[in-house]
Amino acid sequence: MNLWKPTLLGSFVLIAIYLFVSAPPPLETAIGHGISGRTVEVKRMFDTVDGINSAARTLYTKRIVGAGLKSGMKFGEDWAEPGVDKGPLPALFLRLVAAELEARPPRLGLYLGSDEPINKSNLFNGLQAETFAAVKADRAPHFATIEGIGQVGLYPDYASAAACVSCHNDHPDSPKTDWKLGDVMGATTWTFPDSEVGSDVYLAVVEALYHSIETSYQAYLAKVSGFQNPPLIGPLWPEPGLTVLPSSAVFMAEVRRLSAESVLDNLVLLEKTSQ
Amino acid sequence: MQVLKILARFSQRPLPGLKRVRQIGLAAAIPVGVLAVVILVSGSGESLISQGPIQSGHSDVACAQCHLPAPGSIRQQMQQNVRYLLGASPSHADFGYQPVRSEACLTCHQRPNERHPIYRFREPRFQTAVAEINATTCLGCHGEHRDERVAVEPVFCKSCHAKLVLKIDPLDVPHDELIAAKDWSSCLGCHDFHGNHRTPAPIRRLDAHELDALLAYLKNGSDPYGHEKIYQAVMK
Repeated sequence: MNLWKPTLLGSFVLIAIYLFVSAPPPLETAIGHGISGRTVEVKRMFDTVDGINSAARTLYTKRIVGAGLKSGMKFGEDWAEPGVDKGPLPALFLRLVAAELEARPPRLGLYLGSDEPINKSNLFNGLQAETFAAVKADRAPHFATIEGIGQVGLYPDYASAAACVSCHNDHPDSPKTDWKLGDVMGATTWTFPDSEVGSDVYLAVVEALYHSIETSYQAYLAKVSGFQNPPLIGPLWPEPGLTVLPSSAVFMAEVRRLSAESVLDNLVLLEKTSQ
Repeated sequence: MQVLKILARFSQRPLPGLKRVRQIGLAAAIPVGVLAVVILVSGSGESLISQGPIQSGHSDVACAQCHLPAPGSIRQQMQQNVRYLLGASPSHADFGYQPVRSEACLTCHQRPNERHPIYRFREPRFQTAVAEINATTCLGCHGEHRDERVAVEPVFCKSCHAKLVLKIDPLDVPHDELIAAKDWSSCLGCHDFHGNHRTPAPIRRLDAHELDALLAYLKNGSDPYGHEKIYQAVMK
């Protein structure tokens, strides 16, 4: 009896079962690529993350740097060098956040730039420069699609504190020395590969940004703990008369509180979109 | 002489049949297969399956530090890929292991003082530069399993810094002269690309590292910038 044909047929059947019968659950599609359930326009997601970023930036600029400078703490470009008892300037703090985002999918890009930057590597060019001109003209976000990058959103960065103005006006490398409070000093650029995202990706992006802010603030606290005269770090913040920094949990609670409106607004809009 | 006698006696025997050859082959294959599995599973065979010698700085890094298993079981991965081939899924799945990505490098090498973090090159304004030098990923410059640190020529600074202007230039041979002369291989003579060496950049052109020393370093030689790093890589 020739067993060749039945053996071959049986093998194909077994392979087909192995490959097509979903006894194990299907592998989840890589996050950032799949769209499941409700979807939201990426512009709306950019609104949300910019709201969170603005909250963290405002908190760090006014209540960590601004308050810290008054009580004798120092902040500078060389903050990361060992033996330097300084913290990162606001723009460098956001650089840390951007670097942390790099290691966390989904692939949200966060960049800072200007047409008059202190550091030439932050000078806009090409389509980004054109889009920034529009941002500067009407002080509102503008969007573009760039081949190879995907969706791009530019949001205005204002001179929101006296420290922004004085630092940029006094810096020896600054190409502009007459900044005023309220000026559009530059823009935050957000990038994302897709024009629409699923609600799961949307929420994952929000959490990745919160986590990146938290890790960056923890890096600052780690640096501070090695200072010759380290300030107090704890839940009691602010503490009148004392140089004190909020703990990571307190800082993040404040960031979440300040950004709650932006996050909630866009979640509600997301809900409406789906109906 | 004894060997020749044995060969002569053996050659007079009839050749074994096909069935006998199969049996011998099977009997030999089983222990060889078991031995191969034991060697590979125990880790002592990693060098056998490696694509090439690893760079000196990674000599104590195990394969699994960079080569991470792909998500899901082998069966799930196969099913996903079959669905992808049939057009029933928008993306394919990694099979067995994930490709090595920059995230794996950053697990140990992410530092707050990184002078050229890769994420920055994903910004739209670096698109032209990235077309010349793919700095959006660690592997754009760093080859692995090729017994070298860096796989690109040391003139890549020109892609971004061709219009560099310094208000205060500390170098005895000004930067704009070096740029005008297109002496791009001189940049690394003073500046460590990632900015993690403790030695400050020299301010005299004569004190810059020679190109030969730099090329040797990029090919896995000794470090001309010195061995003192500001941040050590932390294996996690």
